[in-house]
Amino acid sequence: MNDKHIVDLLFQKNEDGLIKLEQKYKAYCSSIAWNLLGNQEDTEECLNDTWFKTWHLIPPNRPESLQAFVAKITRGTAIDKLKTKYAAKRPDSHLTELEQEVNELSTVWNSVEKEIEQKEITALLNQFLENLSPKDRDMFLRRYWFADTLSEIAVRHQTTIGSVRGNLYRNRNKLREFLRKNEVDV
Amino acid sequence: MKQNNFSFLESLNHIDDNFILEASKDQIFSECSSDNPPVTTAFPKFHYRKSKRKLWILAAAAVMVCAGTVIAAKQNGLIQFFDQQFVSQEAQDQISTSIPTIITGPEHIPAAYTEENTMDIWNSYPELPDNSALLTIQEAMFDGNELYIYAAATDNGKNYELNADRLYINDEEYGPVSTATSEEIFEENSDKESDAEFQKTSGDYYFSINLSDLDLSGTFTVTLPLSVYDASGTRYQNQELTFEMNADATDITTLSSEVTFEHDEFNLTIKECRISASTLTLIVEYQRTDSLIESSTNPVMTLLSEDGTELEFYNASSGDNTGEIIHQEYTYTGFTQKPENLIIGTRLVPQGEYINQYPIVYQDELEIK
Repeated sequence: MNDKHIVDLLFQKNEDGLIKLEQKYKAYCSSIAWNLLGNQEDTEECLNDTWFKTWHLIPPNRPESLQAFVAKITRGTAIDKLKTKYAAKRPDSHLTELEQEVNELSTVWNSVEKEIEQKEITALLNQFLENLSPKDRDMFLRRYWFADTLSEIAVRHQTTIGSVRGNLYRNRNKLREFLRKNEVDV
Repeated sequence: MKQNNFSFLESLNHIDDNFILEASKDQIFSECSSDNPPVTTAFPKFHYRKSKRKLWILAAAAVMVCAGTVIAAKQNGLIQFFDQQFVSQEAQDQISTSIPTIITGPEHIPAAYTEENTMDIWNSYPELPDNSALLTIQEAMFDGNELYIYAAATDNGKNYELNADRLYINDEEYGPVSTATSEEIFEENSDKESDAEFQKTSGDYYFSINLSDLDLSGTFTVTLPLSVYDASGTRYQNQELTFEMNADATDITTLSSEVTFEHDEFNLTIKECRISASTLTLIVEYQRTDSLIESSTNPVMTLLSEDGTELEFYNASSGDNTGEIIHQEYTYTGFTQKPENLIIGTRLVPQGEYINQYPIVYQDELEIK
């Protein structure tokens, strides 16, 4: 079933829409949640929340891309769970390496957030991503949006882990430089 | 992780849907490998070969010749680079200096840009305002397995961020190339990772590639295509640097004969073991029982020193896990001197799991000639 039909069913509050949604996107959303949460119980809970939220958000929303819509809900829900789980302790080992990179970016980002609205931040991020080469953008998003491991990204791009690490390092610096160029005080 | 450390991840959640959809695709847009099928196993594919593509010839090729300087006592260079990984005197003795380099491109267009709709993207990159050399090749070393290049940015090159993900040997394309700056090498070997993050680059670049499947002898030509970005992220057309190397001084030792590990759940044969001055390359093939296949579990090789200390393989190839026989390649860089015997172990590791948490299930000593 295509996405338009699923959205139509959800719009009609037909529960078949929810069943079809789960059938089509369970594996995709599971991988997003699993990468961040790292355990089955939290992942299943996150997916249940995703279907529940989608049910309540459609209508009134009619997403152009159902895939991106549920991906964002899954990821947002997973991050909320992470924030609760690790508010006062270090994350589990599956997030250790990502934590080091995110720490640095988040230090920058916290100062950005004090200055400008989320809408402007998103516009800047979109502009930054647009300017990256397709390869760099894919590596950046697979790491920081999908939370793939360096090894997974290396496999995806048929390159070495060191090369991925170097690429991400350069693009983190590039993001910082981009913000500076756009007169965001970082 | 403190709560506010998720702020960057959270902000990314609002990006344009098209970026998410693009990154969700199985097929990726890669300069290196656009027409290769996606790899599905746990390890990165280490190198690949493609036919050469000559689509347009630069009218004015050799723009300038620049000789690398002899560096007897400098702070950066391959010796320092090797010191991060190994200190083999033999490797150090094979370093070439004073390497004449010419600018020969942009002659080669990455395969990913040769499709009709992406050719326009490639052609839209502006020419460099100043096409003088961006790098001088200071040192290079090919030991029969690995090619290392150390290059220093010229005054022109210091205005840009440079990268190479492939190169050409005698005009045939090979990849991937690992590119690292001095700062990145420092970063990988330092506990103060975050402190090193925002340092400006010193303009020193280290490139390396494993060419162990090539039977090179005599003089061969290396062409290094540099992708060029300025500080704002604007990309320019590549600059290609070409220089010659010699393979005659390489000294490779190999396994006396194939060795087979017979285990209840897998048969594994070490097909080839090539030890050069800097690198061990191990080529293995294995077959698994149905239960291992069903649980996506693979034998993973580990290298042990005589005292039982585990030495980490630098990398492993993906191989192809669709057939009955799986072929993989491992590399290790870190011997202080060439070993006469190798102790090799095998773990059984489910795909995606951390290797070191699984015990070694098979171990053997290999004789090297």
